[in-house]
Amino acid sequence: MSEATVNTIAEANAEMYDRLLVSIEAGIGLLQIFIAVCDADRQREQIITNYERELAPNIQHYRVELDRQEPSLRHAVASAVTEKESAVVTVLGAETLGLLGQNDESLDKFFGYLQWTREALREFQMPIVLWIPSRILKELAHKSPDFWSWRNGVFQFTTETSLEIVNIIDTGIDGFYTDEQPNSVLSVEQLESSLAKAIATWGKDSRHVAKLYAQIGRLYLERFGSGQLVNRERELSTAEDYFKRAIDIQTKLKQQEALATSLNDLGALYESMGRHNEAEPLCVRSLAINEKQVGANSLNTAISLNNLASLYKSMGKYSQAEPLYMRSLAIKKQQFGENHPATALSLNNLAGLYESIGRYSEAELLYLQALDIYEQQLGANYPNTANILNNLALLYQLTGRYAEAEPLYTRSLAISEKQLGTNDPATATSLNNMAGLYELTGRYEKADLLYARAVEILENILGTNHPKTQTCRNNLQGLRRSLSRVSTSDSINNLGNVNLR
Amino acid sequence: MPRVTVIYQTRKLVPAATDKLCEILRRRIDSDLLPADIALQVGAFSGGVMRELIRIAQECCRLMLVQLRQKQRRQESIDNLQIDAAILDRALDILRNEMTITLSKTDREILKQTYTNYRPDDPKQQEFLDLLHNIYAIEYRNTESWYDLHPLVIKQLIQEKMIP
Repeated sequence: MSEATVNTIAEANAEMYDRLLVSIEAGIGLLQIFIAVCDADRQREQIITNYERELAPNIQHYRVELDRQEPSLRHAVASAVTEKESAVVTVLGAETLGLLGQNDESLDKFFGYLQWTREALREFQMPIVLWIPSRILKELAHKSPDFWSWRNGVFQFTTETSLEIVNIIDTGIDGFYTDEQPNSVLSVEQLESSLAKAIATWGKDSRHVAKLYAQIGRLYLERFGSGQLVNRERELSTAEDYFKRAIDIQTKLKQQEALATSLNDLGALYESMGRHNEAEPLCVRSLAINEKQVGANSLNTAISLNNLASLYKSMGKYSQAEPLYMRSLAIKKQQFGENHPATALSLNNLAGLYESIGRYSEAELLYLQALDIYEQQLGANYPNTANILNNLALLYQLTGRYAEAEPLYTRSLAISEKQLGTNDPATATSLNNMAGLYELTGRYEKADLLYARAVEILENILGTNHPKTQTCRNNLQGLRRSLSRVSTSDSINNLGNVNLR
Repeated sequence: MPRVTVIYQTRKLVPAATDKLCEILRRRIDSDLLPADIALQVGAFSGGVMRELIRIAQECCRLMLVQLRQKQRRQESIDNLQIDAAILDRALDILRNEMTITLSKTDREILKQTYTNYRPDDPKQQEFLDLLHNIYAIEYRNTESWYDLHPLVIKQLIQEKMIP
């Protein structure tokens, strides 16, 4: 992703935010229907918190949730709103509709209710901000055309890759499934020298050469994941090149199993670099080969399933991710049993998916199970434990359980700083998320500090242009901007209004 | 729905009608915020439909408020701020995108036909009636009844090279 692209997304979102804010302000005291589109939970949460804070204390703000059984906008608003003037109401819950497949009528009910809504909403003379995921925007316009025609504004926020939930990318490197020596035993220099010898001895297209290309690639991938690359650009580019060469040779020699692994690894590399569209075909191919070559119930298939699911999840394709995670989990349980760390990894990732689609209680259960397994089997200080703690803390944060979230973040940070070092992405994620918690609970100075630390780490290990670095920096700048706005908002109110009636 | 006939069949603007639209705008927005030539364009792009006139005007005002805030933040002067061509263009882009996300292939074909012949092939076709209901196509009446497209839809179709 080029720097220009990422900056444009952040800038576009900032402008969109301003548009929304001025619209709400100008709409106080009038029935206004604003449709806000966002796919990322945390991003949405941040936007809402920001405008509520900027409008306070003069404007009463409400947040309501659509009932999943009877998703009526009017009902949701009516059930919570008491103050009918100088108020704004934010409607959530649409993101949980229509996810259960063919028999899920919730979305159609929602549209049906919307279509007949306007007269019923007249008693609420206030801006109503209805948040929807992008997947239902088009359908809404089609199926509730009258409601759509009453819209006073549409505000589309592009997803900035968020540092929320840590998906543990499964490369089998943990050593649970393979008998191979972990790569960290050999150095790059040793492997490169072996590679040179192999080429000299057997020629460029031999399977020995392919194996070494793949090994070196994996080593770099592993190091990237733990923030240990020395010259990041060069090493990532080498890794990409080597994986491609390995794939080339493996394809020629029809080494299906090795090919599936290398495809998976290159996909994992692209995913960590934020190049999701390039990762997808590779992960899909890897899965197909694994299913065919080693069977639908093999470990390699489980790994491919997990990684493809994680990719879909980062792309927002939640309904495609779920069955894949479930299959992966089932295989792990079958091969390793219910209490194995490999199973815990899958539990964590499935929980992360549920968290993204609002199935919070199910997510919590799975996280707690995964946490239990890691603590029992690997001890309280195992690095992946830090990830699960982080994810569970974020879940509590999303559901307003701030007091429960904080100690988990603290624990997560302690583990990652101790076990992984201050230069690990997991540390940066914990810092970023914890800063988010501080921001939500009004502890702005601490939030600023932590965001700044996270940005520093990410710039170091991922580079300035990486989507995660950009997101974190935007979080920091967003905090600073909204704080400076709060102090100038008085002067803006004195400017006089443009009459929009 | 109140409508003012703006356009002849040659797609030229009718002065009396556009004057009326500008007057409506003037009553709501000060002339130093909305210069006359921009007001005219707002009218032109509304297709003569009141609700669309207000929608475009509201979006322009919204964007101007955003600029106000940005200048305030940067501590720049807000003295000569007005709804200029840049704001109008952006507003029209935003509204055009919003409108056209819902159009299917069939819709586009019907719209293209309607544009070319000033009437659809089948005025009773449900898809056409839906487009009419949602102001993608507009019915006009001077000496006779005829149909045209919402100006933003025309703009979109031109951009998609569906119409010249």
